[in-house]
Amino acid sequence: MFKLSDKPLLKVEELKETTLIDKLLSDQKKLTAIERFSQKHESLASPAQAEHYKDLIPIRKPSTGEQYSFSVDLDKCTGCKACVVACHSRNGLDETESWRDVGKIISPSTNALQTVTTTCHHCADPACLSGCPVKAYEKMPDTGIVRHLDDQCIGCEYCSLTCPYDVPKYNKDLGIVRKCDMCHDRLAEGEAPACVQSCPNGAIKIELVETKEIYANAEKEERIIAGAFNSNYTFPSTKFISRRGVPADMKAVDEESIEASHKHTPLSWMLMLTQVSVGLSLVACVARGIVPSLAIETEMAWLIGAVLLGMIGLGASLLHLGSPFGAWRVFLGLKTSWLSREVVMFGAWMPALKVYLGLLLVKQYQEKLPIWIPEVQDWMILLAGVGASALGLASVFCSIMVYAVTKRDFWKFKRTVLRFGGTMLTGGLSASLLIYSLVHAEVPVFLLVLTAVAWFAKIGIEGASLLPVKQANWSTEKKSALIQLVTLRQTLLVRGILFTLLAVASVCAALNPVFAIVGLLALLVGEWLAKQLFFQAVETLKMPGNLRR
Amino acid sequence: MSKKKSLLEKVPMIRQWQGPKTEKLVRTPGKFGLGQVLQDLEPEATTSLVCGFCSTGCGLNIHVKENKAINITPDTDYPVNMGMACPKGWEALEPLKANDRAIQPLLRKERGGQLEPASWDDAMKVFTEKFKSIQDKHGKEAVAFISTGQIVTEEMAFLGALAKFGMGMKHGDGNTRQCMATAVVAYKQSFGFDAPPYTYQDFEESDVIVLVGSNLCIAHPIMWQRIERNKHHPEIIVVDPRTTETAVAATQHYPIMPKSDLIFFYGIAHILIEKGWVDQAYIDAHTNDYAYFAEHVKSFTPEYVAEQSGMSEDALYKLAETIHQGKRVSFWWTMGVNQGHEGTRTAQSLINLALMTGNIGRPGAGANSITGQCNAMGSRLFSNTTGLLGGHDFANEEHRSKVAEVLEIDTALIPEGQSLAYDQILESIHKGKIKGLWVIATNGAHSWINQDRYREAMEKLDFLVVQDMYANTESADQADLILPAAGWGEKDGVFINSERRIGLVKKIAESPGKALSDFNIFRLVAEYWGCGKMFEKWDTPENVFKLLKKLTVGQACDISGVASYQMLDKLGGIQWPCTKDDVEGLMEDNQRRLFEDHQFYHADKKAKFLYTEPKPVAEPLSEAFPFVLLTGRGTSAQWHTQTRTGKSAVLRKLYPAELYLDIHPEDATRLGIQNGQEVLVKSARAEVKVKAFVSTSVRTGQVYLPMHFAKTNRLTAESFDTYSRQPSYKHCAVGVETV
Repeated sequence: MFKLSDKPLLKVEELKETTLIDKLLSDQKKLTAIERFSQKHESLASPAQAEHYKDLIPIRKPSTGEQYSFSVDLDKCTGCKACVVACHSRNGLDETESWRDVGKIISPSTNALQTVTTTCHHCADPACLSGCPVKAYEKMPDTGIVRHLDDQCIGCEYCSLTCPYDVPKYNKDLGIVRKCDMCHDRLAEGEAPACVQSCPNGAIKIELVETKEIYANAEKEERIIAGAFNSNYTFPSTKFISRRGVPADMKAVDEESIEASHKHTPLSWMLMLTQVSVGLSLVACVARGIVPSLAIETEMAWLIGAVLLGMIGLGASLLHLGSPFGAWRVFLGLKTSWLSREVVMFGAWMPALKVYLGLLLVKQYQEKLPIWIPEVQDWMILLAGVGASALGLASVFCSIMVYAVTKRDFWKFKRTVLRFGGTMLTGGLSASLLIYSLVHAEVPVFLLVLTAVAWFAKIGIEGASLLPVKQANWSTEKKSALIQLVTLRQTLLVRGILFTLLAVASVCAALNPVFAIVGLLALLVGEWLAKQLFFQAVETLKMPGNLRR
Repeated sequence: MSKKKSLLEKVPMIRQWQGPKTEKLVRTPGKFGLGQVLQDLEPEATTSLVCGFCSTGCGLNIHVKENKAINITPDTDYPVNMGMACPKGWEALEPLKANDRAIQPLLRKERGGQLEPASWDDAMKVFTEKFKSIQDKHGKEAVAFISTGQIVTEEMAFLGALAKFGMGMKHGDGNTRQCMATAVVAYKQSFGFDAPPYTYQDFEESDVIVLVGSNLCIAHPIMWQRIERNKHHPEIIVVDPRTTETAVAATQHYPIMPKSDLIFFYGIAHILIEKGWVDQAYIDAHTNDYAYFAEHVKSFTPEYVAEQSGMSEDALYKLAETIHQGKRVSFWWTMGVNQGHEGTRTAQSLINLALMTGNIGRPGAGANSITGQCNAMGSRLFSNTTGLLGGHDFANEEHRSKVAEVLEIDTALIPEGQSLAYDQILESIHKGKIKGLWVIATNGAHSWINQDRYREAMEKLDFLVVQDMYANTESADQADLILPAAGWGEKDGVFINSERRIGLVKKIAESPGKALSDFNIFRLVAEYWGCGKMFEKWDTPENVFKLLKKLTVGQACDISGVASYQMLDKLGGIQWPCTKDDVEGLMEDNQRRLFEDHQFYHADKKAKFLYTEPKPVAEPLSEAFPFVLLTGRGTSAQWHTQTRTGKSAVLRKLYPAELYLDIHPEDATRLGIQNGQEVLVKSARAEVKVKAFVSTSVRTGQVYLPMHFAKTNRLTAESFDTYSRQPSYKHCAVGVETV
């Protein structure tokens, strides 16, 4: 009691001060706007904005042979990018996600500049759909909208490679891709899609278009707009209209960007390991058929190596999937998807390879087996070997086709055959050589020469992809060369060092098993880097974009 | 049973149209006239407020669920934007949610030391002690403030009144000096009051639209929307050295030499007079000094002007003829004019064109300055910096006593003298005359011209207080005390937009931690400073608004008819002037245009022709610095120094992550610069590394940098318009070389 009254004045002063601060802090947290101001359109279910967009969507639904399409009036697209953010906000997309983008094209000869709003083109023949191994896309029969089934998707991202407009975008948190659905449920209710609603200039419209007109347009015009991919691949339905005209030499401002493409790390492992594995089993089978002396005592080591590498490779492919639990559906796309075929083929190859190895094992250890089984004949093993080799080759062929059909110059059929076939051959030969030296502590000169020749050819092929850097004019080849030499110069350098290491180790493999093991590691990591270059140096097919983000 | 069922559910179907991932994006009919909304974001209520970025002043509809702001859609009913917004508006809630918000006062005990959390009580005590001790030692004038166009009118009036009447400061200016000062002076001199005469409807009514130094498509996309709505197939003329998005969308583009604008428009006036394309009757009835002006422009012959501007004589005649043939010609300008070394006269050269052709006070006409910041127009009338509260004059005794009477304060508290302008305050700091500075909601260490020198000035201060939403701005880096402020949407008040529309801002979100609205911070400061009594009536923003209304009675900007915040909300904002008599008409048509009666604000009700001999730029090109550096807005997703727009992941996607220099292909080839290559840009003040973007959007001999990266203003040169003291960001000499 007495203590309290010691410094009464100061206490009062303090109390007063804290009171004002506390009062203001608590006032600051009170939200009363909703109570103080009257609600507008409280019970209005129909959209107030309709009066502004009613002319931007068709008054009827598509009839047979028709679909919805976007129509963009370029004269009205001024690059404000409201559409991009409105798509994000109105559709509740994730933090950085938007299904629209605005790029820029310029003409070097004139001062012409044009901003281009773009999203999915809801193609007549969508490559995302045909590439998808699990049928996670459907072209809606009544509207023609290309819809992505989010719960069907396994997150393999192959659609983002087959789509020449870079539309499907991977969502890491969900482990799937997502894309524009033209706000199909809004359209169904006579509401405009978010982008159409939000363009201050009314530049984006939804129109009805006849499918045959889409095909006819692709005949007439090579591409829907400067910088876009040729229309005769997927037959995009979007129309870009310009009364101002788009000069012939227009190009995307980011066309000369040498940013590296997606790494696809697990896929690099998978491709490299399966190809080396198939190569190794081929060497084993060929040796059995032609040079049995080479195969004696080594064939089994080779095949154990092949099975191990192959299984790790196939396992790695699962890591690539964002949603692997649906992966059992991969057969659904067999009819149209090379990825589907690749998976199914590899699925058949691995058991065949194991049968080949199994027969070999049974023959070797037949006497020690606790149960009686019929005697394994050499022809049986050869047959299994040929079968496994054929399935292996077919699998690698599917791998090649997976990339060759994506219309990228860097991945053209011939180039991919040489790259994948090269890995299979040089990888198979090198691995067989190194394993041979581990088993026998010697290196057969014949195999060494053969391996050297194969490598000579492969390095030549890979090196050739760097030559276009000297071209005077811009091309996709030059771009891929520049990405390797400038953006990915470190990867290229390490790859070179590892190759040198492999060469030295191969020559010295007989001296000490350490060389063989180092050689094997250098081979695998080096070829993995080659696959990383394969993925990263490819040109991205996309709509015109912007300066680097 | 249930276990079996859940197991069954786990096994994926062959083809799944539904499921948890699909459900994330399911849309449902929302109420409130919104149309379909995301199921997870279905609002329980909505309320609309004016956007807090630019001066367009769009209405944004806030979706509220469980008393939290969860989403935004532009307001269909708002007469400014009709349901549209630019990316910044759509993302306006994101900067509030940023996890680097300032949540408590921070104090730096010594220069270069760490910022340490402090209580509001400690912060206020240090604030008062430091500033008072500076004032005791060096005089009241040794403490100054820098205000802003980013806070609500009630707050900027509170700040101005508190600093000058309560704390005895004489000098205070705002960042509006960087954007609007030129237009203010131009209008005051020409019309007798700072009165942008237009309404946005004029964009839709014109048949000739002249845009000068304005990249409307990017800087004010919603105003461009209004041009797109124009049904008269207007000629759209862009005068801008760069081929901007707006220049591309225009029907005529005049890429004049940088800062040849004043000569150029005198040349156009010359041709209009030469051809007899003037409205003599209008000139005679409503203007002064035309004859002197006509005499002045005689020497600006097409031949001379063509040579100076880089345009052909034919082009000059074409522009003059287009203006002549237009029935409703409107002239619009933005920073290209305002941020020039002779911006005031350039703005007036446009006002002169409107006056001499009778293109004013009619729908679709006018000499119209487009403002920058959301409340620059509020600051012009109520910041109590250059002008006394309510569009009054410090030097005018009558004005002082009127203000003193309304505010119930002693007239002697109102300073008679002029406040120093922003640049003069900085010079006074350099000279050691100003020792304490209070910076509110602006980022001068990024935005001020010749930035290094600004930062040097801050180091010379004895005490620097920065009041901001974020404690990590370039300006906060140098502060001794940081006061955490609530942002837009976390407080009530009004903004005034470009077309003089007073629009409402509401508190729809909680501010984080102990951040307080600027209004509440000013209340605290008043209390701790010992002048709480003087501001007893300044207890809520709406009560302050009532005071401000009273102050405007009898002024050109009279808003005494605005009854309440509710009235502003209901009508969708109200343009000044608005007396009680005007209110009824607003129910019919919420559009107001000035000078329809052709009565200007000078004593004789006439407008005045103003002109001067053009001056050379402050920093001519030289051998070492052979390029003109132009600066300006980068993209519509960026706002000024990026303290807010940088917080939205989606907005960040929409602009380059690095600073790019636009350079013409011929210059690039000559200097051996490849597209995308790193280059060094040097001026007499600094050198910075940037990436090159080889582009024909600039002419040879000119380069361009967007202003949103702090590096840019390390290069710019201190040069100011004589009348408005606005910095000239649109011309300095630089060199470019490969790294």
